[in-house]
Amino acid sequence: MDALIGVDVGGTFTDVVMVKDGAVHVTKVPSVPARPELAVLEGARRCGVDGAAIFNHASTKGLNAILTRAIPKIGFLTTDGHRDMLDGGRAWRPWKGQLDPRWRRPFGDAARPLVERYLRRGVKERVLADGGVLIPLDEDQARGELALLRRCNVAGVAICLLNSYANPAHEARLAELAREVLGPDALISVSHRVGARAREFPRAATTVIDVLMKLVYGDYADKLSAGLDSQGFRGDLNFADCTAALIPWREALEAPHRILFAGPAAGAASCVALGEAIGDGNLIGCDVGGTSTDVTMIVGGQPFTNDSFEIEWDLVVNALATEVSSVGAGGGSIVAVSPSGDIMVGPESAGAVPGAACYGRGGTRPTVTDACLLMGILDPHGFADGQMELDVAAAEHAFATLDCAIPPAERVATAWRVALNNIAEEVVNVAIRHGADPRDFSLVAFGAGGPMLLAGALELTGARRLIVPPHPGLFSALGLLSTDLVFAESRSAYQMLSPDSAPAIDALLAGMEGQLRARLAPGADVRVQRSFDGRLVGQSWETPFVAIEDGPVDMARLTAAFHAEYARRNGQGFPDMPVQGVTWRVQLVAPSTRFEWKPIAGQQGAPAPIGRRVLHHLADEPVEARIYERASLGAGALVDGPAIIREPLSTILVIPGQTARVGRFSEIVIEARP
Amino acid sequence: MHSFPRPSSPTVEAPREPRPGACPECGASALAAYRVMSEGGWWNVVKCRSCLHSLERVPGPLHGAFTPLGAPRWTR
Amino acid sequence: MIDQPALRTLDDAAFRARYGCGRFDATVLGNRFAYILEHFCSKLLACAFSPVLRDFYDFAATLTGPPERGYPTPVVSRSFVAFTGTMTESIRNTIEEYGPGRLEPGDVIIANDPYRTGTHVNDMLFIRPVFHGGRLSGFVNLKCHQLDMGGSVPGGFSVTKTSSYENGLVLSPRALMKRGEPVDETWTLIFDNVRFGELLRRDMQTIIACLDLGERLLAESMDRYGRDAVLGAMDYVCDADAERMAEALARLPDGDWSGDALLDCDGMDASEEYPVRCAIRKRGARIEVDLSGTARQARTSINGTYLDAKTTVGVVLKFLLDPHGGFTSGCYRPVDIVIPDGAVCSALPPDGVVFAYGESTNALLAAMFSALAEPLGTGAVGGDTGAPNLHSAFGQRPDGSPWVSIGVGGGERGPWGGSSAGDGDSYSIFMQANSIDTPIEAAEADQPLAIMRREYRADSAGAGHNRGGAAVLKDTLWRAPAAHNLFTLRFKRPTGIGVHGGRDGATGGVWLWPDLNPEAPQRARDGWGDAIGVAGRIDPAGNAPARDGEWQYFGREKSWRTGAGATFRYLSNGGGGWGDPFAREPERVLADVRNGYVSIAGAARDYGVVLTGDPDRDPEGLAVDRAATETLRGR
Repeated sequence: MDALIGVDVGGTFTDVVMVKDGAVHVTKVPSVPARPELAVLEGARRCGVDGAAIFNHASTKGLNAILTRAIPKIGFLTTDGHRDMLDGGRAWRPWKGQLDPRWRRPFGDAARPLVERYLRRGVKERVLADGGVLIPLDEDQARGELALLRRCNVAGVAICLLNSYANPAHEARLAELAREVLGPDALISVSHRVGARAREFPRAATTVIDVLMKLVYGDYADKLSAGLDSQGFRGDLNFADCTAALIPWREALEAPHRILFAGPAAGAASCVALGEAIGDGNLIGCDVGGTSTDVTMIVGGQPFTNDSFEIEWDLVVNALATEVSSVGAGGGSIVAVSPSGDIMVGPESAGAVPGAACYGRGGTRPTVTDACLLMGILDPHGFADGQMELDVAAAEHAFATLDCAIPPAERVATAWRVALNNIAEEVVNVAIRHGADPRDFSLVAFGAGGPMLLAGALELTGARRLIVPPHPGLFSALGLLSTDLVFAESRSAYQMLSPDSAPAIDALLAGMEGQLRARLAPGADVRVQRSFDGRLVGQSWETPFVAIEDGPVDMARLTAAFHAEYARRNGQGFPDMPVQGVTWRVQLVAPSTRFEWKPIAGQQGAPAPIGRRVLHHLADEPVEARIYERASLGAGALVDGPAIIREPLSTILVIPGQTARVGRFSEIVIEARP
Repeated sequence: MHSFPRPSSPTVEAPREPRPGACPECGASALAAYRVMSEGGWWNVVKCRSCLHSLERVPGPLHGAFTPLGAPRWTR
Repeated sequence: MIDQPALRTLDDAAFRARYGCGRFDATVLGNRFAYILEHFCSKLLACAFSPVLRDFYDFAATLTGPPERGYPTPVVSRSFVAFTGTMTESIRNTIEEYGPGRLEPGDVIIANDPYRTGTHVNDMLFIRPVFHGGRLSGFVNLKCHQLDMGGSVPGGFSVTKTSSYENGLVLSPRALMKRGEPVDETWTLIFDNVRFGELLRRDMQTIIACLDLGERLLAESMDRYGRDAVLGAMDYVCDADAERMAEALARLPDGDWSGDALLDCDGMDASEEYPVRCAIRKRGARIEVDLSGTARQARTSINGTYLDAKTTVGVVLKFLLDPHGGFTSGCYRPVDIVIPDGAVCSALPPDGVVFAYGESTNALLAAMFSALAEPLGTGAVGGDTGAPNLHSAFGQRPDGSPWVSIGVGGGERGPWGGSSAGDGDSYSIFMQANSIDTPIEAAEADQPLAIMRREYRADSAGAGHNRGGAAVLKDTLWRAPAAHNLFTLRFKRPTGIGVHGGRDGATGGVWLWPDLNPEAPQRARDGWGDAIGVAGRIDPAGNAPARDGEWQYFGREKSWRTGAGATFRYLSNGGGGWGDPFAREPERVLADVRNGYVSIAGAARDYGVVLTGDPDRDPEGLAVDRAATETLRGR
């Protein structure tokens, strides 16, 4: 089989995974924030892309640009009188802002807007909720506003008119006028094309982000494609969306809001694929990075998918996204002291720079990584494949200078426990939120910090076991080789689920399916997946992603499916209440060549440790742990804790009272010893 | 009481009853007895008006002035 | 008061002796309390039907410790802040009256009487006692706005009620569920007296399911850590809050300060105003807030109770002194509030009718922000929009079924004030609330209205080094005949008070175009000329809002009836500025003018910055005239 390549760009590292002839090759390239394609191409060069069939890419370039506001100047056109919708958001504040009189919306005009108010222009027109026109589009006035935007040299325009999801005619005409006034090369995103869903703020925000993404990506993909081409790549270049589904790169850039943030979804996809291989469909993925831990739940082999997500507080993007919860606890989380004298870990992080105190880059505050070093979990000489020396004295000093009544000797142990507790708490809470019991689930440890921390958290979560996949630090990148190509359309149309509406809904779904098929090669081999978001009459929120069976819609079955999904998500239902469909969705799924888990050779004889090290603070007394090379362990190998299993880019901890067993596919399964 | 007439003056004052003696903390002669709302509900206090030191704090009635008619369990 | 060693100095042995658990467990449990609330609130939001609950977030949840510990409240939910202080008292009030000895596992005790539990009758308190090892060990609580509790006005929102008896069903503490089974006569009592009973019933079932979840999670924590550790952790969280508040108070200078704010009128007529006053005395770590001098209770339903006053005092102190610490019952430890009986913020039955409790509490917040501005210095914060400005409309659909619109067509959203951190947001909500805005498209899909304009008004923000947020102007076109109830009580004086040298924000108002021709094409109303000035300070020549305009009384019609095609315009008040406006950097003033927050004339008049150019047609061509600015600024 031709090689498959997955690339996940992170803040510090660009992770590259190549699967060739059944073998997995990995490499980490330091990310280049200003020119991210350079790291991607370097990773490609190290793998050798000549002859590769697939290059699947999760990029954070657009997300980072938006978060840091390193974005070009664009215009926003909306219904006259409503240009402040981008400042207001949904007008609420988070817990930490509840009693903070200085709290401001992060994307508001008083803080850091995406589009300055003078570039937000109103057009004289008005469409009503039923699609009727109250005020016709005043084309002359619209041209005037567009001319002003042109004089201001905007690089692109986002258009979102009220109720355009119900009647897009004015938006479509306005887009034509925009092209006329701004020129045929102007980048324009129109809200009913980006996603014709009701609720103006998320739709407007998504449209703005979509055009910003088009501009930010600009020639990125061209450079990437050309660079790969020059390296001899003749295969398919795909971007991953926020559910880790793959989109061919040109198609992806037509609606790039979908590819904002794929990394965590790729981690979930990797969990699903691993679960399929080992026969375990109930998993809780824990991706422990430098700053945060991302938790995803896989139930019955499926992650949860939501119809929107937030890039920063209240900045909602309408895009299908794997549900990921994040807690500010990671390897770089800073250990501090609360006003009443308690040890706190995070959410502040030391980041990559200066990083942990032991990195010797100028960091003076203790971090979780410093605690792991002082406990003996990390080897000061063997960090990052031997490329870095860790400074034990710096880590000790950082803990010693904390101002609290806890004796210095206990601070490291407390920080360890607090970090584990914060992660475990999030895992338990994700489970409870979905009405699930962690005892029925296996944790999957990945990310830079997962393998060194999560064994310690296993008991706290109550999960039945911990699974550490091979190459856990690049597990998300592997997930990019575990999903399919998806082409999707969705549209809002308020329709009661009653027999009368069946013809209209059939027509709507057929129309979307037709539009999607027109974009594919004739006779393409695709699976059709249809779904809708609906609500119980009287509620104002929808239950998303209720599956619609093939064929003409059967209202009774559709209604039953809704009630079942409602009960699954919320733990209770109201099956006697009428249901209204709000958003209708069609996806065409084209299978992609995927990475396949391959069994490894069995363990011969007892596993041989390559050394020993004393570990502190894992038990009342220091304990001696045996150290093993992961590569030397075969299927069936058994290792008792305390132990450390090393691989070039990760450290796996097995704590006293646990046993680690190597599975068929080289995954390491850690459980409490009976 | 469970039923109250509207106060006849346009604004209302909380009564404070002066008490003789000096404050044990600051020595001022500015003691008074009055009712306050604080952590734990209503309190009848004797405080020094000068430094706000409390000489006495006795739990007040549950709802302050209002006593529901018909509530059988009132002991305060 | 607090004569204990500072918490940070306690070593593990001393900590354990005091709290029955180690520091680590206390921290873990403190976080756990917050998660427990978040879980059962998420469940409520996921399943709730009532739009007032679901969208307006008109609910709150707390955990409370048992009677033997004095009912401490270590955690409150992220929702209607205005509820949370009442709940520190109302759980105690309800359980003491019901009788703690009568409680059993599986009970749900309810109450809604404002004079016992605060806010208004629609906010029903639901309490589930939590037992551990057979002992009463705490409570999980939800206070949720019910869409209707009977009475003379559907939905209840009216400022014209003159006695408590008009409010509908008042429930003294009683069991809704006993040992896990419904108490039939409580349910029938409720549903025989309220409108929209079907919807209420579903929401009440959801609420009970949420309490089940909360109870289970709290009981599991007690199983895992022990009852003593959990209760000790509750005490610790409250003690830490009390300590932070005391330390913050101690950092302020000692002194006496006073402030006042105004409720313009009541719902009966314009003959009486209702000032709210506070006199604050601070000595060391102690503070006393005296509300003497406040107006007597109003003739109509704009009053609040002592519980609402207590909430506001605590919330203000948290806002200004400890904005990042969570709200607990402990924050009141160094605080004594002196509350006269029968004031507009401490009304008594039967004439001190409570419904729009948010009015007096908003005025109290403004009075305290004003009083504390001086000692806070740079820590002062400008005033906010100051009122909910709730608009209710009722009508009948062609098929005869009724429709109700609450909280969508008014001035519910408005600005916050400026602070040391920067300008205030314009599109927010009065500070004691926190709720998700109803999208225009969602409102228009369900109700016969079209929101024609929702944007900020130039020169309305209080000027400052950091200015307040701008006033929000909202035009709502009503497409069906309707009866409209308004109450706007904060337009006589600015609510966006300026602090630390900043200026007050403008005042707003309400206008009505009773256009009875629904066929005529509707244009966004430019100008004010042909409208009826319904409320606020309005310049009689030209009808525009004006600082010294004639004040119009909203209540001269008890209900404003309109045909289809009428437009109501609401203009909120502007947010208060912080710091000397003549110190605002000229580049920021230029950006304000370019962005339409300030006019060219306003830039010169209010900020001393002279700009050249045309902001409407050539926004990027604006420039600062440095010489003229220096002259104007007197340098």
